[in-house]
Amino acid sequence: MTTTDSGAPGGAPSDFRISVTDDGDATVVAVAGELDVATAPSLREELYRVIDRGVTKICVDLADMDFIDSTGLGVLVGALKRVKERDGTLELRSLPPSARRVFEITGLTQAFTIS
Amino acid sequence: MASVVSTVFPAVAPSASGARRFVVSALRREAVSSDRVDLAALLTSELVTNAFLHAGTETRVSVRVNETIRIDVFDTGAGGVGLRTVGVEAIHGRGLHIVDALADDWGHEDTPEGSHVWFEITREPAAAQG
Repeated sequence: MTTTDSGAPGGAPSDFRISVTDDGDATVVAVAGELDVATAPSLREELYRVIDRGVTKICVDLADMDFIDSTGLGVLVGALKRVKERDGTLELRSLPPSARRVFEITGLTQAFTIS
Repeated sequence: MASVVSTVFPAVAPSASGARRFVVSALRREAVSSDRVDLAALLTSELVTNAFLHAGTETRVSVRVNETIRIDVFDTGAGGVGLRTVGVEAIHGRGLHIVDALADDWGHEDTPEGSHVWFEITREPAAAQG
């Protein structure tokens, strides 16, 4: 398991965390904290690292995600495209109700498998 | 009587969360209900992120509360705000669509100083606060 802290500068909250585990079925990338323009790059790096080492079954667990905006959506869409190019799958788990709204109005509930 | 507060954020990525916290704090002081506060924070995040990514200048955020909540975001960049058509697999371009879908009204104008984008949402009764 690896954990990445996004240490946001300038005294901003830096409680954003990513953990990568294997639950025996899929590689689970769990996101905690606020996913925005400051923190999204570290999630993109982590997801691309997982995909590029050949993992084709990824589950992104969002149970502890406190906030997501369009920048966060963009990273998840980018990772979905990249894993599909490798004939893999990426599903979203435990999407918080407050985040579901931005997936719905941007049409992304159609693009992702959400469990 | 309207209450207006305003502050300036530097051209760095953490200003998006800084602006969200500023708006949340200003609206909580006015006893705005939490779901309205969350919505205002989301839409503010979109506008400040756009300013950071496209103008790359410092950004002034102002919050006005009376019957409606109005947020104004000013940058000193070249302007050119607008809705783009976004495919489902696009990585960028959803921010203003979220604002367009969830704000009661929004708009933008290029000014001699830069770009000005704003939105309004209705305020719910304070009694709705949890």
